[in-house]
Amino acid sequence: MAKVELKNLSVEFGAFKAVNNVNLTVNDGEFVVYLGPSGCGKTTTLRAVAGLQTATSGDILFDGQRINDQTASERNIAMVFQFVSLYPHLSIAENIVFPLKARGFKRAEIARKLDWVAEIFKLGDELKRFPGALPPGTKQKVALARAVVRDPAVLLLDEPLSAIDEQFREEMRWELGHLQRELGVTTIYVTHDQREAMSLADRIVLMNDSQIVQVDEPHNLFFNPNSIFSGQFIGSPSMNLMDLKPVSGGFRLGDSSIVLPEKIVPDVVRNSAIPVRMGVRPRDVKLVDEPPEFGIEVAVEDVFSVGRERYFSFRVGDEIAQGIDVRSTSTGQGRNVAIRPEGLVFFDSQTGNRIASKGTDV
Amino acid sequence: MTNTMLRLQGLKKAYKGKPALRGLDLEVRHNEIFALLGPTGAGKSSTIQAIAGLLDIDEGDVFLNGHNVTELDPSSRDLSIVFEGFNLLPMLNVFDNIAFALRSPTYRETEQEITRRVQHTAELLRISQHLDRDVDTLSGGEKQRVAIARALVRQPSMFLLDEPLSSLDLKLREGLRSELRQIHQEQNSTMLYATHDYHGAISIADRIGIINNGRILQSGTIEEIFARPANAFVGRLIGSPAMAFFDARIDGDELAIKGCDQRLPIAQFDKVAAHGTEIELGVWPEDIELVNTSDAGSNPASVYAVDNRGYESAAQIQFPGGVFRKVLADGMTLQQGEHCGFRLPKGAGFLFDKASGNRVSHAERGI
Repeated sequence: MAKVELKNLSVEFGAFKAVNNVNLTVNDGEFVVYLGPSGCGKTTTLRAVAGLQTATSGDILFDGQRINDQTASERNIAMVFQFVSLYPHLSIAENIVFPLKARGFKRAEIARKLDWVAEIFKLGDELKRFPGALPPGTKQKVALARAVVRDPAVLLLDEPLSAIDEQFREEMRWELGHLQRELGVTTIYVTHDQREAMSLADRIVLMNDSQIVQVDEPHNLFFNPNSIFSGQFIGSPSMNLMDLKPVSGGFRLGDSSIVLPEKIVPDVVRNSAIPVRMGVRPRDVKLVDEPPEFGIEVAVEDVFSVGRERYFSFRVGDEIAQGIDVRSTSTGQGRNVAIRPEGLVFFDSQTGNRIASKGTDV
Repeated sequence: MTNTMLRLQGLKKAYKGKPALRGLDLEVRHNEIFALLGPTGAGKSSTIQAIAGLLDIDEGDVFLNGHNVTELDPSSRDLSIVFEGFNLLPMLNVFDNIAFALRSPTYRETEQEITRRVQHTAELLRISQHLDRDVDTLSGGEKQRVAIARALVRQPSMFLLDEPLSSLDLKLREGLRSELRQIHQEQNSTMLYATHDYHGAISIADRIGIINNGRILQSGTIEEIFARPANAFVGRLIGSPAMAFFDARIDGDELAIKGCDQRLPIAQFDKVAAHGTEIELGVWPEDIELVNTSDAGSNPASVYAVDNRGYESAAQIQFPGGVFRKVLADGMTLQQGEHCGFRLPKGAGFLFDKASGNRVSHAERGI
């Protein structure tokens, strides 16, 4: 197990910078998830750490040691890919101990290690079986067991769940979260699925356009996005975004006639010289029958109840905004939407950067 | 006119001796969105194809609007179908793809009427600006809209949607789902929406049918299904997280639960089975209380893993008799490996037969 540091790391393919000056420290035993849209540079970063891709500039350090010049096999990393490649002619036990045999471990040591992973991964019943007979989730588990059996310094996982059927994927996600903490192995995991990242990570590294946008604990990334990109990428349904235009008594939302009362907006936004875009998550708006203290009157387009949860959409000019009322008490007939001021985030609409920490100052 | 739009009666179909539909019954009402929810291989696509007339069924009848259409060919059934793939015609632009069916001998609309309807439908699906484009140049989400527009423009009495959104990414899926609901309201249409995704089903449907092994196990609103799950399989498919299951045994007038100190009075389940019967207890996670280990009547357990979801988090709880998953109450945090306790409140839970999975408790209320 090791601490991993990336210092000013860049990877270039000709004129294209796939990874542009990335800095990050992954602590010993930490579970870090690289998240971002396809082409953002997350997989290239992982491949650079693995030694499968040469860094154009910058340093990669394991426990303070620069390892840029070491080959992949010298780095003591273990990597698991989206598509599992087990040896079909070897039993599960033989597949798992393969890397140990290849490195000339003693038989007693091999047996001890096999017992250890078989117990942690609960693979006791499968050890004598062959890969062809196993469901995809179990195959992925075997690949993982094979990766960690030789105590790698770092475990690297590239979209390991995305090729698995939805039915098994959720199961495997729970297992993976449990196993990583049980093993305590430093883990870097790449995914485009924000749900997976939220679920598994100690910290999420959100990437876009070859650069890191935000590094944070899942909870913080969700509630304190530093940019429009962070706010939109995390969470489902997506954060609603609307432009604020100052009018008397408040701010007009987008090109609608809805006016957001001034008192809901913090001073820095009120006095901002730059155009402001406001973000609010669907769960921070609520349908109410009476005009609320903090809220707006809207045209509700659709109300749809599932138990006590009420999904609704309302029109803000040309845009449709979404709301989810979790413990709804309204009749659903009203035209008023209450806003939880603490749930509002404000961005510079040109740069996309966050400009105010939280909603209201009242 | 009855309230029933579609009725399927005893549909059977086998492929090379392997049964796909095993006597499937289903009713879809006028103007509702009905979700057919089941895992891969449950018979969803076969059901849709049987309704559309694209599949020769071995037995059973299909009624549309009260008429038996079993022997009618697909073009005479007044249905539109949208598949997971887009099946757009690559040599035609967006307008002509949408207009294609209206120009067929069945419709023979005037070009003026066709233009009016295509433009209106394109507006509904927000693809008006793409009407001149080649379909090959569209993104996945745009293609899916065109496929839906093509089905919509014919204004059939019913839409069949077979996993229409599952190839799209999450954000697009959510957007299109709420648009489908909106279009449904404007057009007063009836939709049958097949999906394997529980969230997808509950966020669009008025009623849901759970399908497994070529049979409908239960249909109803999601609230009805929560109140009286007909089968353990239904519990495993519904909810987020799904139902928690416990191995149990009837012991006199009590239910003994494997790995739990707590016993439940059998009276709460009605008379269910004989003393000594092994049975499965299913409890909705919302009904399970997480408590301190020292609390009276608590069952010792520990936290196996934690799942952060943004507004809330969920935990997998491990106890000597098995595991269950539960969304944590507001403000509660748990760490992997931590010890905790849980309690099953009196009155919560259902009993299911071990072999068939059928619910055996609360019999008097019916299914």
